[in-house]
Amino acid sequence: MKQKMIFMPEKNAPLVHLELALLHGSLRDPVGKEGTASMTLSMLLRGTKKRSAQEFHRALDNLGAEIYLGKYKESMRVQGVVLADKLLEFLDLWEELLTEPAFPEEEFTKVREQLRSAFMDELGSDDSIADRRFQEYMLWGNLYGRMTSGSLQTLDNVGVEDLREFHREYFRTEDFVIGASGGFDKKMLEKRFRQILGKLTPGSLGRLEAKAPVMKKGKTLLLLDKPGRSQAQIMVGSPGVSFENKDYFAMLIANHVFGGSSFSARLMKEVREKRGWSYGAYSWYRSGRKPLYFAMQSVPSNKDAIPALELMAKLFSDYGRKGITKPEFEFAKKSLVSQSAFLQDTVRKRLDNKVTEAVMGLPAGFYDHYRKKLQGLTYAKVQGAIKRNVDASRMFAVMLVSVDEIQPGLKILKGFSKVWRRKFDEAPGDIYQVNPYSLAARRGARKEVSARTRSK
Amino acid sequence: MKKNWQHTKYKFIGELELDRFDFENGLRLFAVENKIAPVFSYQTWFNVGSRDEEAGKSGLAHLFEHMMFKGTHKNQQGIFDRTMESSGARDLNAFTGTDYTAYVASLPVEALETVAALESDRMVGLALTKEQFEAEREVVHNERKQVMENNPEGKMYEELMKLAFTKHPYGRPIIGFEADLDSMSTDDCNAFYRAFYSPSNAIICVVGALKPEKVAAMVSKYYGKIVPQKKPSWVAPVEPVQKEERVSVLSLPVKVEKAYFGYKVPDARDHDQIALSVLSYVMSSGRSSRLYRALVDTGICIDQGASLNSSKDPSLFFFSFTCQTGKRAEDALGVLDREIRLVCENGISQEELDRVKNKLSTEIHLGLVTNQSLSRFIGQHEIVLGDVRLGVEEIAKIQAVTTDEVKAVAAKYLKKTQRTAVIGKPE
Repeated sequence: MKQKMIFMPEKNAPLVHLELALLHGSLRDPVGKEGTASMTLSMLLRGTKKRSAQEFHRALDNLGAEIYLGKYKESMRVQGVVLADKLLEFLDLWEELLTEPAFPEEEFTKVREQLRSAFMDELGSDDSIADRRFQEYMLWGNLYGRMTSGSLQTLDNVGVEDLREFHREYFRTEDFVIGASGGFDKKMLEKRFRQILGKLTPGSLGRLEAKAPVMKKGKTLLLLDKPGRSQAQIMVGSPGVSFENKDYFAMLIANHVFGGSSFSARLMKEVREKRGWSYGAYSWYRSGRKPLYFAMQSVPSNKDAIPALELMAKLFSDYGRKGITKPEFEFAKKSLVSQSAFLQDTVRKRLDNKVTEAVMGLPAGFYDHYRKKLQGLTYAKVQGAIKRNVDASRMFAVMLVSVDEIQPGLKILKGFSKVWRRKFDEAPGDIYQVNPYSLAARRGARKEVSARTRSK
Repeated sequence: MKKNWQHTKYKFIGELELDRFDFENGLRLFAVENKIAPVFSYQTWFNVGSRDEEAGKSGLAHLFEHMMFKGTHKNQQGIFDRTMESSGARDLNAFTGTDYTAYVASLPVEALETVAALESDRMVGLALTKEQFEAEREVVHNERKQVMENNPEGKMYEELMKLAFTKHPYGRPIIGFEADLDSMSTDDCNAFYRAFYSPSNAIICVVGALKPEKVAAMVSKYYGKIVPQKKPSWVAPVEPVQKEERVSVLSLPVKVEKAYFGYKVPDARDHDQIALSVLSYVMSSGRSSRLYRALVDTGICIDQGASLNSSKDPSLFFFSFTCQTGKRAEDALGVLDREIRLVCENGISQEELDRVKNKLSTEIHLGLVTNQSLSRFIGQHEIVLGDVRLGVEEIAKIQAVTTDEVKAVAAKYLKKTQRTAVIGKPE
């Protein structure tokens, strides 16, 4: 068997952490049945051929153990922690959940109803719904734009047989990465995992190579109307970089200057420190095996929403055009090089790094060489990387806001050539297939958006 | 160097030892040598929180916490952040609670002197301007909008505390009422700074790959000359005994119903706290817990939780529920009443208790592995319990809790007359 096993035993450690990563994620969801991979994973904890869901959790809780499920586009992960002296019983439970899930109809109905309610609950959370809509609309039409959790619209298309099929098809012996840290015997654990994985469908399906998202040219604003809000959630996206991009490390430095998690970053200084417009203002890259997107975010009051959006767009354009200054480069490089000590400061993190390298197909030692890669960068290299990777002519902004509250600002909004307006709880779609929010509407003459005609 | 401290050593958690240094100016330093990586956590905890605010000044402790990142007489605005960040500081942050305010950072070991110099400087050398204050107040207004006004759960929590505490400052939001924030000035900040920010009202927690004696020498170098100050003598008003259930129903922009319940419980030093914390696990931790089975498995809720507030003064034992679509919070309340009655009448099984003890053992090991979490454990227990050693003792005491003690605390505290309920319904 070819699955990768990474073990980091620690003598006398009181706990054992286990991690099992499947190299297939929600990218494998059948079209129209988004949420299949995620629900399959959830159902692993909903009963096995030997125990009902209640019996399984009673056994798990009796051990004082925890199992967490990680659901992603490119992988699915099962993580667990248990007291070292209860590891053997814990492994028996892992064997059951992985190789003998029962997928009982009754539990499936519960999972689906809970998910339906969770989607409804999400509509009450401005930041969650803004983030979901941002990803759905910005990556519309690409496999990466389909949400791992699925949606209210796709939930009813998934049946329990789809989950059984997903388990049979994708839970392949050789498509796993296994990791463990803590107080265990390496030989025993390796043997036990080989036994467990040997019971699954043999072989490997290989990774799914999905196309990278491509953003349209132009600056677009999508208003998600939610009445009664006193604040706006603003997210602005632009093309991203992948882990494999040769400029990845240079763009880490560049982004640290622009909007990384630093109070010295430009976004934080301009939006929060100078103007007090938002509690936070950040930017980040969402990277995977493919470049997903760059995003920046702030949460200003209604009165500052349009000026904040314009400022964020202008700062991004300036950054794309001029790059960063040499002192900014030196500060960011020094900060990130020093901070890299925290990438490896616990055994658990070292394990996570190794598992991530294997799951994402990164070169071995990607995290071990992190510091060196940053140290090797020069100002000229970072400026070159910014030129190649920051494209301010492509921006997609989502603003969740009470649209009526920002009408005066909308009338004079600069920089965004097209504006769309949708209800925040409306099912997402391809906005480019409908007309933008008309200027007349932006001036308050009418509030409807025509959804019937195609744009050019 | 002349030693201007008293040094005591205690057994801490696992194999770790805790070194305590008491300086002449009242400052306490707690250092734990943890050699796992060449980094350390540096936290400064002040014995002041929203509990110490007068009526009409709600939010001052938190707003002032923001101001601590502005300039000092020695370092103008921005230098603190830039120097810390370029020294490799991670998780550079601060937080304000009801009982404490803490300033935290994680750094590579080479940065010990840098952080000691900067933190000691801002402990007494802050130089606030009106412009900085006004810009930061705007930031706090935005933070308030984000976590309270535009967040249904934030609104419900604010309402719950306001309803449960009529006199005690726990009834006021940590972030403050909007009107109180508007009426504050730079003078309020300066007065607050002078009253509560001094070595005698602070503790420093350093956990990481550093020798405790070396840390003490560095702290002595930078803090040793700070003049001691009289400890503030604030006494929070006593909350009158609650005699009947209090209920509030809020109309919120949500699509599913939600409920928060709070039962009055004693302060963190009370003997019953340990059994109460076991009770919270019996009720809601894990999918075999009583409320998960009774509320989530049965399709009434998608989420349930129970937790215990351990504070300087009596506070609340919380339950929180998020209902499934079409289900009513009142249904969840009916189930909660039934489950509480069952514990009060029949107690819990030995199997349940053993399960919770195993879970707590795992969580304690899990929660106390990083330098930051160990520092936080020290800071929080030293301030709330008055002695971090009591926090260490609590870990052992959990294993001694009996089924009878859990039954007894359920009957003593989970009474309807002691309950405050806030229900959130879709508009």
